Amino acid sequence: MDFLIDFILSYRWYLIAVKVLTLLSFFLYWTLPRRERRLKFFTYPLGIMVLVFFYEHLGSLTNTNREWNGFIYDYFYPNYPRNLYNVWVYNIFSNQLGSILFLLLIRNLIQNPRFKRIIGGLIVSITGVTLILELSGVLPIINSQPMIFYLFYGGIIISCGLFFMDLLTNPKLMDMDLLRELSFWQVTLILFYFSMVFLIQIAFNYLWATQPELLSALHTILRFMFTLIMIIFTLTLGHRLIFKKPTFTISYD
Amino acid sequence: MTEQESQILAIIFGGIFLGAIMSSFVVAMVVLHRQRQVQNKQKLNQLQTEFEKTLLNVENEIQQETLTHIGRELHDNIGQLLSLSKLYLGSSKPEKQAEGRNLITKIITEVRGLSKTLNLDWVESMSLKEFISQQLLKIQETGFCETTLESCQEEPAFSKDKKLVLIRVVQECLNNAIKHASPSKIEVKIQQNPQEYQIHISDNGKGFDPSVKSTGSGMYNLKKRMETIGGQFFVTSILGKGTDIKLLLPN
Repeated sequence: MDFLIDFILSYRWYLIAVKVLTLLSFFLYWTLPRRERRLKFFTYPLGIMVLVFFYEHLGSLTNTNREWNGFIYDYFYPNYPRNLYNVWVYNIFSNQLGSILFLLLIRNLIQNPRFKRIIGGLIVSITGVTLILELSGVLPIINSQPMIFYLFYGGIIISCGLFFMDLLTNPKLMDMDLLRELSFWQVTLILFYFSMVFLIQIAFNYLWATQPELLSALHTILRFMFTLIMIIFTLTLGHRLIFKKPTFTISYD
Repeated sequence: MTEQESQILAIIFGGIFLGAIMSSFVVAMVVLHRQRQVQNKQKLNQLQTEFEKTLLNVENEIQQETLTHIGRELHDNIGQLLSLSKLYLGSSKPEKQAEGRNLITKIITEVRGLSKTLNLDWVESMSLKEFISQQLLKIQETGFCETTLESCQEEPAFSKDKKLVLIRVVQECLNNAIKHASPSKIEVKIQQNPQEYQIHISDNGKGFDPSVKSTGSGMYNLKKRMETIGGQFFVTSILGKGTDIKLLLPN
C-alpha cells in the first residue's frame, strides 16, 4: 500500500504514462489511412504528445544533470546568477510551444471562420508579446514568467469558450452526437486542465508558503488530468481500431 | 494523519470535486446541445413548410397565367383559325377546301404547342438563361424598351422546384420594372463564382425611394421567396435613376 501511495505521489508514473501513450500514439498514427494522416485533426494531437514526451524527458534530464543548463546561462544570460534551474525547458516547450499547439488544435476544431480568425489573432498577438518580453530581457526564460503564462493559458481558455459557442450556435454541428464526438471530449478536458492550472498558478505563492502538501496534491491531480488529455489524443489517433462507429462527424482539416 | 495520507485525501477529494464539476459541465453541454438540435429541427421543418407553401403559390400563379394565356390563344388565335377553316371547308371550291385542310393542320400544331404549356415539364427542359432570354425577347418585341442579357457559360443544376421559384422571382422583377418603372432599358447579368450564383436585374426607369415604406407586399414576397430556396434578395434604387435587383443563390 505504501509503495502504491509513493508511486502515485511521485513523478515516475507520469513519465511512464507519457512514454507509453506517446509510443502507442505514434504506432496508431501509422495505422491511419494515408488520407487521414495528413489531417490536422490527427497531426496536432500527435505533435502535442511528441512535444510532451520531449520536454518531460528533457526536464527530468536537466533536473538530474543541472550542469547541462549551463549553456543557457553562458550564451544568453551571462550576467544572471547561475542558478541552473531547468524552468526554461517548461517555459519554452510547455508554456509557449505547447500552448501554441493547443491553440492551433482548438482553432482547427472550430468551424466558424470568425472564431478561427480570433484564435489566429490570439496566437499571433500573444506570441508577439512573448517574444518582445523575452528578447527585451523583461522576462528571461530562466525565471518564472507568470505574465506569459497567463496570456497563453488565458488564450487557451478563451479559445475553448469559442469552441463551445460554435458548438451551440453552428447549424452544421447540430446533427452530431456530442457524447461520441472526440473533439468535444478533447476540448472539455483541455478547458478543465488549463482552468485548473490557471487557478493554481494564481494561488501558487500562497499555497507554496502555507499549504505545500495541498499544492503537491493539486499538481498530482493536474498530472492525472493531463494523462486523461493524452489518453483522449491516443483514442483519437486509434479511432479506427478502437471504435466501431465514427467518432468525428465533421470533416476537420 | 501523516503528510502522505493527507496528500492522498486531498487528491481524492480534489479529484471527486473536479470530476463532479466536469460531469455537470458535460451534462449541461449535452442538454443544451440537444435543445439546440430540437430548435434547429423545428426551424428546418418550418423552412420546409414555407418552401412547400411558396412552391404551391408559384405553381398556382404559373398555372393561372398559363390558363389566361390559353384562353387568349383559344379566343384570338385558334378560334379565329377554326372559324376561317369552317368557312373554307364549307366552300365548294377545291382550293378553298385545301386551304381549310392546311388551316386544320396549323390548328393541330397550335393546340399541341398549347397543351405543352399546361404542365410544368418545360421548367426542367429549359435553362434559366433560356427562360430569361425568352422573357427579354418578348419585352423587346413589344417595343416597350431595350433589353440586354449577359451571362456566364455554365449554369448550376438547379432542382425543378428551385428553378421554378427563381423563374417566378425573375418574372416578377421584370413585370415590376415594366409596370412601375417605365424604363428605356432593362439589363440582366448572370454571374457565377465558386460561392454563389448571381442574377442582376437593372433598369434605368423611375426608380423609387427605398427609405419610404412601401404599402404593397411585392418586394417582401420576393425576398421571402428567395429565402425559402436558401437565397438572398437585395434591391437598391435611386429616384429618377433606376433600380438594381440582385438575386444571390449559394452554390
